[in-house]
Amino acid sequence: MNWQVKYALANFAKEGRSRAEHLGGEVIRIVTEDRPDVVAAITAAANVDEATAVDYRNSVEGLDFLCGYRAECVWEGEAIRFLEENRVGWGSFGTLGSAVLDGNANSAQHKVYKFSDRLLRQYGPVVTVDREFDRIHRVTLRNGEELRIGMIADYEPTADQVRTLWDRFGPVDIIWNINPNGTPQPEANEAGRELGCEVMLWNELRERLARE
Amino acid sequence: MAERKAIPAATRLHLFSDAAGFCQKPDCLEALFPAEMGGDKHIAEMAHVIPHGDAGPRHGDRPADDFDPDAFENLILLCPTCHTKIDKDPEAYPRNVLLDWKANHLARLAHKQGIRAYDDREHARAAVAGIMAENRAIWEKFAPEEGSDFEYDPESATAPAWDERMRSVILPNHYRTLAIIEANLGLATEEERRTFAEYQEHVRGLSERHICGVSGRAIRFPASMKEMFA
Ligand SMILES: [Zn+2]
Ligand SMILES: [Zn+2]
Repeated sequence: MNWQVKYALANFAKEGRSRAEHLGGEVIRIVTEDRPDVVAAITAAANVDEATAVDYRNSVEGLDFLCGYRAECVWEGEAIRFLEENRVGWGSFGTLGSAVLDGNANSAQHKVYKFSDRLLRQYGPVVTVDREFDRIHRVTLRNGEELRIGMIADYEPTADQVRTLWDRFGPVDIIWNINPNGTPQPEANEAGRELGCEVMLWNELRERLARE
Repeated sequence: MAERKAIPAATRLHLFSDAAGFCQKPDCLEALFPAEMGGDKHIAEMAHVIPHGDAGPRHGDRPADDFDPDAFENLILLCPTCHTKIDKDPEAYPRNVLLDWKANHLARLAHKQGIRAYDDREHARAAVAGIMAENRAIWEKFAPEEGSDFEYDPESATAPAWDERMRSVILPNHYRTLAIIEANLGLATEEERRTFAEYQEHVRGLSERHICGVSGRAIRFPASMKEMFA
């Protein structure tokens, strides 16, 4: 058993409301009173692409949820679409924990990016949304403009985090600090300017998207 | 009237941390970020000991040499009531009285809050532990990223709630803890003194962020604080 599975089992054991058992390999079953049982695969992958997602879905019978246990785990857009179409929830261990109690493991999405994904999709001036990665969205606006938006969830994004996002995911027009308590460090704004993108919070972004 | 610059953030921060969140008039010591006011309201007012103009309260006390009315040394943090009092009746509140309030504020506040030096570590620990437990409970519920009620919702209402709690409860608790540890530093080990120094920096970062709106300098709460005087 790898450490991710061990930790997942141990975490459920100490939470109390649920019990988790090891079904073999990377697969566990979580049993919660008054809630549906959840079969979850705990992956150690740092990057979940479509092939990985398909693989888990085909090899694990009755898979409800795919859990990226590593904090740095990145989900590619095709993998997300495949899982959502096939009624497999996806996200971090925290996402799995809440989904089990909410009884919606099959439809749960990554907790960190869920609200901002929805905000973009529901916002009037946004016509289409193409999710390239869990945190990278390409949107087309009513005025025809296309923007690539990257999300940073940290409390106080640093210049280094701005550059890291850019290096890893390529150029973006806007970096959106989606943490409601967050404010980017001045150095992060500066780093964004040097790279050619703006770093902003939702209030600024909504105005930017509504610009005619 | 002379052109006035805004008081620099560094001065405001210094002033706030010196006042530890309470009015500096010794018979008042009112909380400047009252919990019951909610939202982002506060009642702190920066009062000039010596005014900018030649007509303001206590202008007669102005020192002869060149003098910056907006310097930290010339400001005192008060609640609105006390600010009004000292400006309406400058005779009763001359410069030396105000400077005495400021110089002895922390000692008076500590006395009011029952902070004292203990004979043994056990009592010092008990004094610190209760306050830190309250902070931890709030943190576990609302803290950015880690709190159980925290959601990455850019439109979330818990964010302002967090800011409000930070100023009305968490920060005053931290200042109080700092005062208790300071009063009992004689009981601390070398290791604990280092923890204390780190902790001071943590509180300073929190104040910068939540009082002065300066982000990006907060250092984490030192885990070793849990073992303080243990
Ligand atoms: Zn005044
Ligand atoms: Zn007062």
